[in-house]
Amino acid sequence: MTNSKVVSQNDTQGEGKDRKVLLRVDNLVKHFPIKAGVFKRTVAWVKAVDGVSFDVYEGETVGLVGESGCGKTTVGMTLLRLYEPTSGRIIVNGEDTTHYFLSARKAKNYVRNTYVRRFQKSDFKPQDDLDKKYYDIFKNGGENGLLEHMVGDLEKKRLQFRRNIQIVFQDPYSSLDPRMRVKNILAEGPLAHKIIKKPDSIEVVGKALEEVGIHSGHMYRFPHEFSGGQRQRIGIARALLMNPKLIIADEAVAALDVSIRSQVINLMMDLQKEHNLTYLFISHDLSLIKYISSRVVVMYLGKVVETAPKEELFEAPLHPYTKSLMSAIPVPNPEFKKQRIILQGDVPSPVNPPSGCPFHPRCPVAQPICSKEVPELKEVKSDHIVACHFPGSL
Amino acid sequence: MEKNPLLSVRNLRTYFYTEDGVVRAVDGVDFDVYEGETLGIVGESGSGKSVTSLAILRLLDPKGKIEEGSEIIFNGKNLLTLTEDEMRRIRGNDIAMIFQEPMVALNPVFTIGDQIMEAILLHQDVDKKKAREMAIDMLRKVGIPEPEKRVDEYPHELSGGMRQRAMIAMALSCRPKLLIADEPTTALDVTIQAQILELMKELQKEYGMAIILITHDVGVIAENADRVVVMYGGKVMETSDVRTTFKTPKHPYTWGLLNSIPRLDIEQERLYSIPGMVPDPLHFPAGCRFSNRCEFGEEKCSVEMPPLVEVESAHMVRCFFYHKVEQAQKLSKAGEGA
Repeated sequence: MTNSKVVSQNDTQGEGKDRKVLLRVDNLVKHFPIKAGVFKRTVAWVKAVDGVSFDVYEGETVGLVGESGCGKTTVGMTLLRLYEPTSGRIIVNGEDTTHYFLSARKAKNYVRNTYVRRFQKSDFKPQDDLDKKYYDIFKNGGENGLLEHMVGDLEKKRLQFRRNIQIVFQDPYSSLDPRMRVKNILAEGPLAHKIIKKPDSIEVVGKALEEVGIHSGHMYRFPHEFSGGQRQRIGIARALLMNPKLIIADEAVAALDVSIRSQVINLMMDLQKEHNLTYLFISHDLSLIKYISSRVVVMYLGKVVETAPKEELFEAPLHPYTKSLMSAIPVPNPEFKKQRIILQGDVPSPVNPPSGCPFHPRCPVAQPICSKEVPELKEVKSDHIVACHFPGSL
Repeated sequence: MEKNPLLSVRNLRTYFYTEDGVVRAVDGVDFDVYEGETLGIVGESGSGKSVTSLAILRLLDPKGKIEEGSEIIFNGKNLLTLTEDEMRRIRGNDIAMIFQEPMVALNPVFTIGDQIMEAILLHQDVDKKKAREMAIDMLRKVGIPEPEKRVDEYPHELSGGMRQRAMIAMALSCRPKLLIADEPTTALDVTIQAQILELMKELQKEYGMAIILITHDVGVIAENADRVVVMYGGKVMETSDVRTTFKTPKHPYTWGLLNSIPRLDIEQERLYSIPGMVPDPLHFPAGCRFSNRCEFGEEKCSVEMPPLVEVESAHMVRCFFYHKVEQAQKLSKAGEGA
């Protein structure tokens, strides 16, 4: 908690720039085709993620929050490359990783189209640090030098990427293979990545289990012998064993009972301190996001509508959607008086998103311009980014 | 609350006879529901809250049996002594129910209109044309746009929130005196949940019905219920008006539960965790059902079941050592102030 406060103080003094960006999501797009007819022609696209950008700094917890269908899970899956992005860049630790899981030919094309073409122009100016870095390599080694840097040894890069980013899934019942013993579930990844040797696996797995609060003697059991909360702990241990830098937790506690939920949340926060982990916490639960995150990204219908440090966001939300979402959360305090904003209508379909601002049909303060122009993400205050024509008007 | 209760549940025990043994899902539950009020029943999975609601309507699956000595008195009649025919006249007419999953609870092969009309035709003396009009009226009441068109649509053509509205329309079409809502908004997004809860409040005001609101979400209870029953392991652990329970919980379970949820209204350094696991209803611990997870317990707790006693006016608690919770509560309040 104190950590995040330091970060936000730094920001107001303009010193936040020395924080290291671990993950940069740059204009990520993922469209799924809808196929119909005898020839399975694509008749429409589901715009699940439609231009999402945000940064995750090392050691922090970013909460990605939104209602069902807003694309938050698709963002997680696309980051992990369980889906290939339609476009956009995924930058991890200062390296573009977007092409890592493409074939060598496609990866080369990606590098040529994204960087080389631009670098070859006479009036080229680097737009960000990454451009600068790659341009230096390009200047020294030419196209082949850059290709070697970015596409060479792709298999090794993939393995490293998989080690660095791990995921904890929502449903602890379907995310553990029912036919494998817990020991094998946990040892499989580290063995495949040669992080550990087989004779050591029992000791390593035992230690990992104890760390998440499960008796190491239980490693020979099968997943069905554990309760939901214990299985989720096993899922966390599995992610931890890879020594990841970033853990994506997709609704990791949503399936658990209330009294078990806080156990797992506290465990994850303790592990973060111990291992200097970075979390991307995907959830629909704003109260949970408030408790666990240092910064929050709010999504609606495939787009980011607001990003801010936690304290800032919960004290002064600027987007009408964020504000209505907060007012809709039931507070367990009968004496707590809050502003009640009840949104009309349902979340629109991502196949046919509304024109202009995707939120305008439900927005209580929409103006004519909102249905015509898509609002850009703008930094309204330091580190507080909003996509709204009239921020703070609700 | 001088009035007679609309519904009195007394010593309700519902056991399931399974191959693995007897599951005592509901084991001696007492509560009252008064006219026009909302009673919240809160509990985790396995606490017996849903089984209680099904038992009131006698909708349990054949393995479940309501034990001798249980009483469910509605409007002066013991529902457990009625014949199946008499019971059918009460279901949907005097007592209606809405469920968590509207997609499962609605019949996919009939239109929304057909399903609402079925209830009206069964309980009221009207012809089909009139029933259809009433169904359309009801759909309009619950805020479904273009009800004349929607009445002929099938459940799959509606969104989750609209389906739940249709369920409410169906449940309220005969103006029941009591509505049982079992996790009515759990499957919905928060903005839709706010719409549905608001709708239920408005309709309650208009029709004057009582509501039993069953949920695991203490926030929903705090904002919508007048009184609350906290269940754990098939037993009522604490009951009082909603302000009292949330402000000064006296049962260790209620106290732990309220302190273990992330909240929007206050800053929290670290969440409290109730240790251990939700108990398996086949193997409840001896003595107090919460004894194996309780931080305030003593030896006595694992031997003897504490009785549900009235510790303050209309505040009942099932705990030997509720004073300790009072003290802990005072300490944490003092800590907040400092």
